[in-house]
Amino acid sequence: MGGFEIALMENNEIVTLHLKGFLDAHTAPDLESELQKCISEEKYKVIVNFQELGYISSAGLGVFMGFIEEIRKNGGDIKLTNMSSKIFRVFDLLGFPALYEIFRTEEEAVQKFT
Amino acid sequence: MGLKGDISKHPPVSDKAQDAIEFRVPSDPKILKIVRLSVSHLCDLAGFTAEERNGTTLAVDEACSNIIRHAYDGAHDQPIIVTCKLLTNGVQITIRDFGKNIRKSEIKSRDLEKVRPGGLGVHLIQSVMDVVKYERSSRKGNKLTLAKYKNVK
Repeated sequence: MGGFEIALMENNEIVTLHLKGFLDAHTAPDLESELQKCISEEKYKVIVNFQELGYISSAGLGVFMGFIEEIRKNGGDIKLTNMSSKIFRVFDLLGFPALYEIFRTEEEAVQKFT
Repeated sequence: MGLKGDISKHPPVSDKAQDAIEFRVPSDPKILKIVRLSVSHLCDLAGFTAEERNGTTLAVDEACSNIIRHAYDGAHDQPIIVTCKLLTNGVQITIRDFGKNIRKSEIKSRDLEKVRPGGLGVHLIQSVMDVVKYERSSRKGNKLTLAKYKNVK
């Protein structure tokens, strides 16, 4: 089990964050500063790809909750993609599917934005 | 204060001290990974399914994160004692701290309709565990007893 890494990609106003490793109370501040950077650069269309994320706790989910309001207020959204069943289970237990759009693939999320 | 379930239904495999695993870790979030690995291995010993193991590991992570944040106000050098016991049909994990008493309002699961962070951990703990029992120490600190049983739900 490694640490936590975020790979960022930008394409036509859409920022995609690829998360890798584990997202817990120790690593959540890294994601928080990356999303804060998106907002300060006025990039409000955000896709988060969970394909390589092995673990998430509520500290990680809390980060999305902390930013969603401001991002939506500015006409954007955070769309979530490529979750394993283990990761999806945690989102599901906290009722996230009713609050966030979750897609199987990144392409589906891109299409929804364009 | 019992929040959920009844621990007395599933006794420990043995009451001998050597059959409990106890470890003391500092209240540093970077240690959470080690706690998760240890609990995960214990769950394998108990013969849990992947879902039972993942849920139990998550619950202990959430409990320790809450202690760091609420009982110790983010201090990274305070003790957390995790005691694990194999039960006849699952595992029991007790998590003890010596920080300030966590208020009842802080250990309550909250309304998920409100889009804001905080209070999510307790909701997760109660969703995945079969027993959640919270006790304030008469002197200082808190004790949370969690249990997970096989083939429940």
